[in-house]
Amino acid sequence: MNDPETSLRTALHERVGDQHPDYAKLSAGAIRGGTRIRRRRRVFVTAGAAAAVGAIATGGLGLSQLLSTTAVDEAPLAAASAPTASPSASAGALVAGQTVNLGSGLTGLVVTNAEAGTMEITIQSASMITGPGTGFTMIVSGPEQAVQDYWAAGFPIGQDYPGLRFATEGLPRGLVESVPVEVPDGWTCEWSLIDDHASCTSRDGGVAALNIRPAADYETWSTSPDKGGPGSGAYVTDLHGDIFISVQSGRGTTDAELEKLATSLAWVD
Amino acid sequence: MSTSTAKAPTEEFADFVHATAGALYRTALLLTGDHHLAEDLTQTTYARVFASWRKVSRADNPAAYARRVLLNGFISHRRLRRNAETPTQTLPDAPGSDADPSARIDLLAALQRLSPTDRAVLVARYWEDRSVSQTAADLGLTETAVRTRSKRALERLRPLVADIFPERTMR
Repeated sequence: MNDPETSLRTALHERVGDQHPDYAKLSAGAIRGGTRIRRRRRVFVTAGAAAAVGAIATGGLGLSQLLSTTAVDEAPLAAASAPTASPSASAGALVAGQTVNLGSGLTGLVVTNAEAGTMEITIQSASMITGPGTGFTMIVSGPEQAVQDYWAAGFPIGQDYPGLRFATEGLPRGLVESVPVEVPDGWTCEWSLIDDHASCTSRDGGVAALNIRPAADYETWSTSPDKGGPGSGAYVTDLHGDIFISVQSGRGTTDAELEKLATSLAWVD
Repeated sequence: MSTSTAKAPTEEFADFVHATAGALYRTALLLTGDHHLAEDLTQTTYARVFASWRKVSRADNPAAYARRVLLNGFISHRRLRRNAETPTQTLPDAPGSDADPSARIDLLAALQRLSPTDRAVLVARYWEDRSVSQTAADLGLTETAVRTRSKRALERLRPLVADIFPERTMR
């Protein structure tokens, strides 16, 4: 009965059976990451479509060639020959300053792209098709969940206004708004604040990861040997307001170097 | 209390994550051997699932889809990293039957001594209880390759596992 396969099966379950992820963080991070993937896909598709239609309009491609085209994101943009799409019959012309009722308690404030550049907003979607939305940005606001759903659905009103950019305000953008710590000399970090994460590289090529975590997780992370507690091989900073940072090594970083990095982090504020 | 049963897509997705993330995260932990990397792998997997959520949510088994995304994500990520690694003539801490029995190592660390694909095969077969044919389909291998890799990986792991579970494997 105690064959190696059964032993391994049992050992695997005993080893990780009681491990649980941070469900809320996973879900929120996945929605943010997934939405970014969708936006990239949409930009690629609209860019590819503009290029393809433009090429047809100038007689550069036959239909059979178009059907055999792969990788739309590699298609060159034909901006000069991009089509001018028409809005649907129900869609009127956009005017800067107007507010559009988007349903579900959402409104869309229309501003020019130039105005948008002066506002504290986040551009979430930009279409490369030239159309009646070109030159305008719609700032979507309302209940947070409704904004998230409208965002996840790909800003449907954009189908009536090709070229329209979408922006949001007040959406969660990570636990902090700016880089929270300075790293010691010899380390360089690339921060992705929206993911609460930084990838760091030392002068000699070692790698480490910093993760910003909410204070609610501190007790678990500072005590569990499976997270950042003693013997885990990872380190956690002290609590700083509502957050702390876990520091974990990657390829080429010794435990001593990691500990030095973790203890040398200096909070910015 | 709302009487509506229809859920918003993000709410539906959050429910899906809550129902499946435990198992997926534990699989990621066995594959990566590290909580941070497991979190990253799991989150990347769910981000990909969310990007196609309208289609995935209508599939027969969205959890199986997510598991396959995770396995393929792990293998392809390792493949990219391997291309950037520098070969060396000697392998560190090569496991063998003459390993010091006092050098007890954790099962997660033992798994890390296997190649990523061998590790994925073991995890699929013995953690997820996938059949040989299912594992082959999940990982894009032939059934013969799954059997061969599974046998070889188990043989490499046994001395290390024996250190941890002598009563089970050292009879």
